[in-house]
Amino acid sequence: MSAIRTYTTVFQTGLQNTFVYRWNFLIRMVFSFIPFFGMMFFWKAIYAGATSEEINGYTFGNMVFYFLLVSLFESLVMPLDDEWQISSDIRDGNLNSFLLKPISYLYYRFSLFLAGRLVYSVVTIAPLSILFISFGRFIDLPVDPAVYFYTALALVLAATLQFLICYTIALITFWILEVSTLVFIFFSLEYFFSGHLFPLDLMPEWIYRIIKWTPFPYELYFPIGIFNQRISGQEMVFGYLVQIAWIIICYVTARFLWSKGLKKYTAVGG
Amino acid sequence: MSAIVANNLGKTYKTYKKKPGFWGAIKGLVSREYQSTHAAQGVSFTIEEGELVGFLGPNGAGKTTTLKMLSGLIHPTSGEATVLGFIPSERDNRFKKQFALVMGQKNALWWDLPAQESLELTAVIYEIEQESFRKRLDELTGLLDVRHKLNVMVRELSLGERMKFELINALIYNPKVLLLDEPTIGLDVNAQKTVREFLKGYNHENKITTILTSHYMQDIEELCERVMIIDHGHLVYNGRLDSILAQFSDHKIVNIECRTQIVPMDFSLMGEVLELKAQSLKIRVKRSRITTVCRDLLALEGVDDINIEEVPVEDIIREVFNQNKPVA
Amino acid sequence: MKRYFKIYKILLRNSIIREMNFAANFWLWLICEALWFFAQIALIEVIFLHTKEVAGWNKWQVVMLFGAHHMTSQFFQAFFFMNLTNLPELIRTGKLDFILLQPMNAQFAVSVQKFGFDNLINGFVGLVFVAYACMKLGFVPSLLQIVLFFAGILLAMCIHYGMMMLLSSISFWIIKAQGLVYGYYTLMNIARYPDAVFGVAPRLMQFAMSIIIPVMVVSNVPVRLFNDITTGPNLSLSILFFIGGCVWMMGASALFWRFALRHYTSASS
Repeated sequence: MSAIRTYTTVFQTGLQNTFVYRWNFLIRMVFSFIPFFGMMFFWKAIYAGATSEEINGYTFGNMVFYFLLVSLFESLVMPLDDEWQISSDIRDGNLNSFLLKPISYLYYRFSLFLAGRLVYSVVTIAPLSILFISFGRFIDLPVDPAVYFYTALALVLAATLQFLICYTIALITFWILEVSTLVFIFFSLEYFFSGHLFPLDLMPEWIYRIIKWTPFPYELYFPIGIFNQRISGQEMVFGYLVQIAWIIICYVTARFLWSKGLKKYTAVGG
Repeated sequence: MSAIVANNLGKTYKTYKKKPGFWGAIKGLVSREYQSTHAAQGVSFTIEEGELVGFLGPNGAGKTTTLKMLSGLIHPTSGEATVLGFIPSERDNRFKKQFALVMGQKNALWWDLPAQESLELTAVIYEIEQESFRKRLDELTGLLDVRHKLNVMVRELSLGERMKFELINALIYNPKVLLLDEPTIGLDVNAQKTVREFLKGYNHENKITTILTSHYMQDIEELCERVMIIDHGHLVYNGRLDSILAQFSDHKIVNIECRTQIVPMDFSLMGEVLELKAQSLKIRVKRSRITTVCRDLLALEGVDDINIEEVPVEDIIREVFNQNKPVA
Repeated sequence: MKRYFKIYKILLRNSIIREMNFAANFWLWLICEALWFFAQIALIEVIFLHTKEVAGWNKWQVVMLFGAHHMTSQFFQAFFFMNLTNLPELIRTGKLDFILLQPMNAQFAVSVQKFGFDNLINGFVGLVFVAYACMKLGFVPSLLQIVLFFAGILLAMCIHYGMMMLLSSISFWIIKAQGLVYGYYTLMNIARYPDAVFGVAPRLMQFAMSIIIPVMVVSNVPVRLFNDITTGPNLSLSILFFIGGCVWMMGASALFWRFALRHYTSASS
């Protein structure tokens, strides 16, 4: 199938392209472990001052494992600059070359996103391994192989969803040139409600009950929850369904925005 | 003392050769191949106060690099330059107040503010007195006919208007030297004409030493008496524009128009046939043979009109590039 | 010197004009930054649901710390941040060349191009939280403590400036430099934590975070001085590190800027 060939080539080009941004990746990689260390000391102090050994079912060890998983899954799932690049393609009129080619911009961008994720993950393998090894005593690997599969599935869905969200928001550039504020607002909300800062079950129940309908917790908290076996069975299936639902919503919205946006784009002349 | 003196200016810099393909990119992480680019080599010239000199050359010839060296934006790797007695790379504030650099398609003005605001800021930075600033602004906007656009955001101005304001921004502090890098690029015919006329008039009135680089022959022809041609980093010609014709061009072009069909014959004996149509002929003839060829052509049946013109300067310049003779 | 004040006055005026033209943007960014801050306060709420104190700091002291940090970073952002992070763009578009042609200090010119009013307002939001925390603690500061606090915030802003300036100057070598902004944010991430939290960290690490990259002291010292918080690392030593860190950051950044600029003029075409 020539479509596969096309997108594989795009993927490879994406890999090469990331070498241009290799310093960016390197810098991000080096700096991304700082929050982890900060977190560790902070939580250690929190546990020291707490009334019991466990906070909502997490021991300090569990907490460390949780944040290790955050670091690992984050590089697999989070887009890096993709929304910025899409936005600037639209703003700077670079879309013109795509409109002429028999290639879907969405799938093109998705291939690049995957390429970026691959490179970033490979690049972070070394430091992540060091991290995992040094904190090995806190790691609690699941015994059941099915759990690995379920986690992988959740991660794939999470990555796809993350990409579609950032793609959809970036498309707003057709109407508002400066979408960086919208992106920022979205990512701040997501940073808080995705489980980046703390396990979401530390929040009051009623809050979690609301946000589990949003795409936010599915970026990190959900896959981590499956892996450390706090989420399973019905709750897990519910999670998958919400992920898939949001993927469909975003995909449809993206398609819609794309066609509407193109009309505007070509009318102005790029 | 001459206004601008360049002595053996040279600029060489290294670029990385990027290896193609995926594995090339990975290899590139470990070992890099350097390539030396000589943007300018052994460029020497002198420009006197008040001159308006044209700087011609194909893309990448080294025009912009030379201008940047004269501005102090780039350190030369060899040779030295003096502008108004200052060494540009020292970037003395007193020096900066006396010259201006304008680059076509690059904005010194604030994009999202009216030109008026940018100009007022320039006035404060260059320590221009309020009264003289107002007077000069009035004068310059009047000359360039953009007074009514002072309060329009720069991003909403047309290319021509933008360039006019860039010129005003450069001249508002009364510099003694003006360096222009492709100022008319991208402008429509009318705007080009206005800018040219303005520059000519301004240079004449204020005796401001001006270097102008351009692609457009018309700019050079209308503005410059002296021309420097640079190619591949070397200065290949430095002298009067009309002398180029004498030095490099020993041909003229003869056009004839006939009222009847031209009898076919071998015109290549007379010169290089550029165009042969049913009722017209364009032929390139050596100067020494002009009279003979004209006599022969006029002897043809039905010749209605004959016209002798110089080879276009553009073609001459192109030939100069092809020959690439270093300056004597 | 007077000329530089005049120049800054015009740049400020231009920023106001610009903001008024992009009112929607102004409000959006205001909301963005406020949201970010409230998320952090929410984090504190969540944490203190489960514990009474963190390394000897109680809830409202931690809120005060977060508030002070927010103040410092927002005021810093208002004056300098956007300009420093815009350096790659200036280089790319060639606008830096035009700045270099002007007869004024290039570091000054690059640092003060635009002023962020939305950040200014958010800075005051941080101040409000500090005040609120004081109220909750039943703490009435003396005049000296208030003066020391604001002096501390000013010096802290200098540390922020030095750090970001160092990071920004790297963009002379690396063209696309979003990673550097990320670096600033992650380092400043540490600044929000009470320094007592790092008491268990190795000595060398504490030293590095106090003087080399003074993130441990930048927000902590003003707050500790203000509220007389003696738990944790030796306060006098921390103050020394704080002042030293400030001098070191400002000096290093100015020197590195000069170095970077020299490289720019030698290496570009």
